[in-house]
Amino acid sequence: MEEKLKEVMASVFEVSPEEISHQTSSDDLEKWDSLHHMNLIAALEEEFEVEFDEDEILDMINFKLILLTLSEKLN
Amino acid sequence: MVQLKYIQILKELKRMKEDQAKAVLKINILSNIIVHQLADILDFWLRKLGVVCEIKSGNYDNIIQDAAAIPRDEVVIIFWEAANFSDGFHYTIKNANENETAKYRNKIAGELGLVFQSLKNHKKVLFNAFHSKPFELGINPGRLATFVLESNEELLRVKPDNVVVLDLNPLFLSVGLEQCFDLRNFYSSKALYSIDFFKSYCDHITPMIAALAGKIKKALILDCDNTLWRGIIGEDGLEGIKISTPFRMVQSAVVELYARGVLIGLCSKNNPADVEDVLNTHPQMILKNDHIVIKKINWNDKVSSILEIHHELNLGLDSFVFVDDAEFECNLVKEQLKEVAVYQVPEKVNDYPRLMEDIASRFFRFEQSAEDLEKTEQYRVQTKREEAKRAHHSMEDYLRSLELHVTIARNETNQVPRIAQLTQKTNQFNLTTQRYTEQDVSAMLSSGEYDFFTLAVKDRFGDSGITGLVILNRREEAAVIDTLLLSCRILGRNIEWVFMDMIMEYIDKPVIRAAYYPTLKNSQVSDFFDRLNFTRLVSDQVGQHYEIEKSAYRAHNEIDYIKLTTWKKS
Repeated sequence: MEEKLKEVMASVFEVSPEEISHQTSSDDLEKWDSLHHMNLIAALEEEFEVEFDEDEILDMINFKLILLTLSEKLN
Repeated sequence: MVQLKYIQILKELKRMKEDQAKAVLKINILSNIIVHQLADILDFWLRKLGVVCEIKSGNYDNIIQDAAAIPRDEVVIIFWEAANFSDGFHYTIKNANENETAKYRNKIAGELGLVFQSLKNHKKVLFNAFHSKPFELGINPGRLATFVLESNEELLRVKPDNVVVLDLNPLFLSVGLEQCFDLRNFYSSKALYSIDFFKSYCDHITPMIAALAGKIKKALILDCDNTLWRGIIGEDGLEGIKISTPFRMVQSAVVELYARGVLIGLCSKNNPADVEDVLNTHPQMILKNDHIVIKKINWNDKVSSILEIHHELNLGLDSFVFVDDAEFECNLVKEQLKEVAVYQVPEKVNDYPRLMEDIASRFFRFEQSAEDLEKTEQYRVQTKREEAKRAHHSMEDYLRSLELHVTIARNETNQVPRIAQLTQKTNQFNLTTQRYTEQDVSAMLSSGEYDFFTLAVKDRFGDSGITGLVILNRREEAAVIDTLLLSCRILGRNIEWVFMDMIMEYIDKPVIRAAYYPTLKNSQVSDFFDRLNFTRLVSDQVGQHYEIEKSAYRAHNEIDYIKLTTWKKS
């Protein structure tokens, strides 16, 4: 799942997957603004077949929190 | 369009953009809400059709100012959402008094006037009609829906000719309301539409943009059997084919395309006379000879036929749309002629009219000049003049890619019903058209004087089952080919030659006799034995008789792409 998440984030934010790590947050990626955040959510929902609510979307501001939210959804 | 995920679209698009083709058209997306995802999806959709555009998104809620700054030769798409006419309009309108409502009305009218003042000379403006979805869904219009109705009236009243108003409601219906809107993003960020909506929206507008970029489809090439009617004319006859309502709907759509200047062609493996018969005499045919500019009714492979049409009409292959019911033919054309748009008739005939509507949308054109309408006539004349030119392409490569696997069985008693059925039903590729009942076949088998060879074909797309038969009479000093037939489903794959090779190899007599008995339906095999270098003997009322010495027969060793399993090896 981590690898797939990195891949999705890399595609959405137009960087290579190697540039995404556990430490990555919205401050680190130039493209991670509110519009691209919507793209990320759309891509994740399609890719992992989940749906996030408003609060979750607002919380998912770094790699660890996204991973955590996703794991909770999938388990 | 294939269902690709958003992330796949982004990846593919990135790859496509590496090829730095020059943009043929500039497109501006203006909006009063956030539609930032549309640009990438549209870019991808257009590149898929071979149309490279430069797509720019305007600023958020800045339609009026953005419109004033766009050069005239560019295309404009406008998302002007009623829900955001002013901040929170979808609920504030509910409690607006008459005074306030009038103020809103004036605001919209004024803004429309300004935008159209700026855009009236532009190449084309695609303007989504105002709507109240998904905020008001009642069949009794609420305040928002009523305001929308009035605004649309104003829109249609003041819009210049270059503005095309698009009704999104059918799209909401087909995609589904839940799938079209993402209210989470609307309430937090004023982004109303989902990725699914944008994909479907692009399905609808790309033919228009392709037309603006000069990339238009011009010719519709149709198969006949099971494409224009249900049944096989060569097998079922004029009485046997059916032109039910869905087929009549499809034919009507084709005639409508003809009336709009699309060139209609037929490409069918058939006897020309059979198809002419249907066109000229079948009472339920809507498509008539007059609508058809070119016909390739023959036994050549369809790639050759389409290439001939391409040369004779002198039209680019990328302006062709081809429709056939057979997967084999569709794949052949797809693989060999990548520019041609290929559609397969759906298995459920009830889905067919809808597919034809999709096909018709590929021929979208903004205006009809008299010239367009005359063109069909010009082409018809030109076609008559021009000689068919031979096409060069690698049929062999295609056949190789099919991974053909032929299984030949000998004297299998459990195949008796199928053998009898084949002799009863096969008309076209049938050298002698001898009809046998199951009793006949059983008796011949047990007499020991006949050999029955059946042929079954598989390829990577599927299994055609038992579709070929040879009956060999060994009673006399020469071996006699009593029956040789193949179902028309498996023609065009050179299977008949391999089949003959196996039979000839099996025969243990020095001389082999054969015959061709002409019928109304089997002219395609009239020279079958000539092509195998058999010597012509007498020709009588029944037909042409042939003979060959076993040693003189040359096997088709060059056909090395058909895997063979025979009774000997199994």
